[in-house]
Amino acid sequence: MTWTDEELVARSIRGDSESFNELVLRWERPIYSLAYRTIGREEDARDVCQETFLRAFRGLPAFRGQAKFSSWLYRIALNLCRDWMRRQRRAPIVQAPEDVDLVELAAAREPSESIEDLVARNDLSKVVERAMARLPEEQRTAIILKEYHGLTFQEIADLLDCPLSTVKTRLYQGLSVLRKQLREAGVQGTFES
Amino acid sequence: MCNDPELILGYVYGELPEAERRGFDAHLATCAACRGEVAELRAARGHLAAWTPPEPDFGFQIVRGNSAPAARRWWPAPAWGLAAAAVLVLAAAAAIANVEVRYDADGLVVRTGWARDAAASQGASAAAGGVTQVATTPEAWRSQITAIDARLRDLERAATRDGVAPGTQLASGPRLSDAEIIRRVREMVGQSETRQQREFAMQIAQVLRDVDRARQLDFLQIRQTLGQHRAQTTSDVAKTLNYYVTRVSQEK
Repeated sequence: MTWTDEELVARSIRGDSESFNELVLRWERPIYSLAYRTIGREEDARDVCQETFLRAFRGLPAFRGQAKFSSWLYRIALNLCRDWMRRQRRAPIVQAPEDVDLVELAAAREPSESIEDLVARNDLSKVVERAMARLPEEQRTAIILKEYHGLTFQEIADLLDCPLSTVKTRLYQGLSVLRKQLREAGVQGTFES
Repeated sequence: MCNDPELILGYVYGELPEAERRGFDAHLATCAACRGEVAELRAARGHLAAWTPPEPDFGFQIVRGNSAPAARRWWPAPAWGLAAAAVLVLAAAAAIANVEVRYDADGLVVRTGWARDAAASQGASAAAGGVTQVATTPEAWRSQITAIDARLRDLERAATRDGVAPGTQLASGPRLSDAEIIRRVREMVGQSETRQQREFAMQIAQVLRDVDRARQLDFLQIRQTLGQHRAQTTSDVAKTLNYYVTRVSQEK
């Protein structure tokens, strides 16, 4: 039987550790991805992820279900990312190595993908990562939540405590700057509708 | 409709109401500028999809039970789950001891009250049962980890006494005995402790560096002040001598 997040939260509060275990398993990767894309450091993203679940666990008794559990987790993780950036007083760091490790890459290859496509995709990934790291934090966060976590505009507004129109403005401006940077980096191509 | 970013975004992300979407579709058929804008945004979205974070290596194996209810289940071993797991283990194992885990403005509170009356006031139970704040200082962490370790030893003894519980196994791999799982958890506790110690040592080193820097600054300041006093004193002596020489010469 598959429990909803909220049911698992209720069971965790009642002392069922396996339920919290299930929540961790369910959300560890999204939270890690959010942290990594926000701060750009693998190890620190893991720490943020760890701290997010620890705080969530500690805060479970106070969680009244006023928001979705996932939104609550996202909020904790984003606050931790902000704290991290404040402490570091710097923008996200791009860790992408200069050299391409073909062996490592091959492990991530899609069955139908040639090695040339794979290298190109990896290069594009680095370019996008660098371009994202240069965006202002607010625009970057809006893009991350929308593109990689599939939140609606309203959910992002609720999460960031800002008006709906602000979310759309940040997203639009972020995408505009991003596509300019990608063009300057030599990334071409448009998607015809 | 042109130059309306919110409308274009809503269209690109499929969040427009049906009527607005149809209206914008009709507009796109006649407006090359908006068509271009939509295509550009979709291209940017396509490029964004290429950015994949590295696969996280949390350094643990996930323990899953069989579909049948397991006689005993254990936490997975993610590093962040460790402290949480430990508190939960303590709470669950000591259920008969009426353990309460609470988090509020004062932080995480683990309250124990043996055979405490449920209606007893918080203050009374705190006095009777004792309240442990989960603090963030290395010493506090260490003592908590020690307590967790002791609890794990108790559980291990109980597991040995009860025999191996069925239904607990790795997601992909051979079954593990409870003793083996406890051993692994203890290893992780050890790693966590080592890490805390390392961080503590780094903090101490930083404090020592700060103290040393402050000391050097103080010395420098004292030296400068002494120099100023010396110069001033020399000047005062010269003035006094000059005064006496002048008076003596006048008296003569």
